Amino acid sequence: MMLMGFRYRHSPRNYAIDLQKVYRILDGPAVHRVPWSRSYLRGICRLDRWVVPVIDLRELLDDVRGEVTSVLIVYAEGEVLVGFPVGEVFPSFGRADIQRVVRQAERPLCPYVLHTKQGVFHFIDMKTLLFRHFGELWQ
Amino acid sequence: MKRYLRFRVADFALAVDLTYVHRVVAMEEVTVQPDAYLWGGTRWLRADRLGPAPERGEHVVLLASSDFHLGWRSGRVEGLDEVAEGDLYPVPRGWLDRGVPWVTHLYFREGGPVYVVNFSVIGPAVAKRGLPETVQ
Repeated sequence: MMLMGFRYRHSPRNYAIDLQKVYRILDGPAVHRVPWSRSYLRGICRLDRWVVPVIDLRELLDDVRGEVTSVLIVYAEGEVLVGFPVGEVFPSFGRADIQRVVRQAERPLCPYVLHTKQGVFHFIDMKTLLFRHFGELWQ
Repeated sequence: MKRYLRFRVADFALAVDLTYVHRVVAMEEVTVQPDAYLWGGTRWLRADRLGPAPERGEHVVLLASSDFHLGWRSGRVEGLDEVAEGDLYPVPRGWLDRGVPWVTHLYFREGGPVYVVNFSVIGPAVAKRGLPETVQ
């Protein structure tokens, strides 16, 4: 599995997600607010033929101190796209770059800590996170 | 092609199927109480939760079905849009507050989204259980 890392600006942690599920990285897309929207929906943006909901992951990751920038990761889960703003995006890395894996049973949304040459990354179980906390987005 | 009347409430562009638009009137023409122009068929209901108070010179879009009239305060009536079915995107219910099932689609004009208010949903819903929440 190839991974992609990101962090929020000023975040104390780096995160890693499955690179194969990253549909696109957008820098400064137009994000439009939605009236009467749920609190976690920051807005929507257009991408190709899709209208992509833009959500905020920071509170779920217990990382609300990190600031987002205009960079948006668009993540694909099946036919569904969802975007979330981040700060910095790291180059991708693979298994060969991982030196040690530590399981975090107490953090089911970040079940593994990956020690790599590029630093420590918290691997996010995006599928669980999206469907547990944002499943209603697609109803 | 469907025809929509596009209007603005707060920072959002909304639209409604033109076939449901009975009239567009200026605020000055509303002779009932300033915050009471929701027509429930036989009586005027308070409409102050439909959006922020309009300024002078703004409009009220009067939507109508065979048995229900609804006045919607709008900041500005922006015009008519002809929209092909293929340019309409569904708005998943999960995007919205649970009390708002009547924003059903959106389309894009001038780079921004226009949210379609489905009057066939909002009319009976308002009649049955009261007014929706204010635009945030």
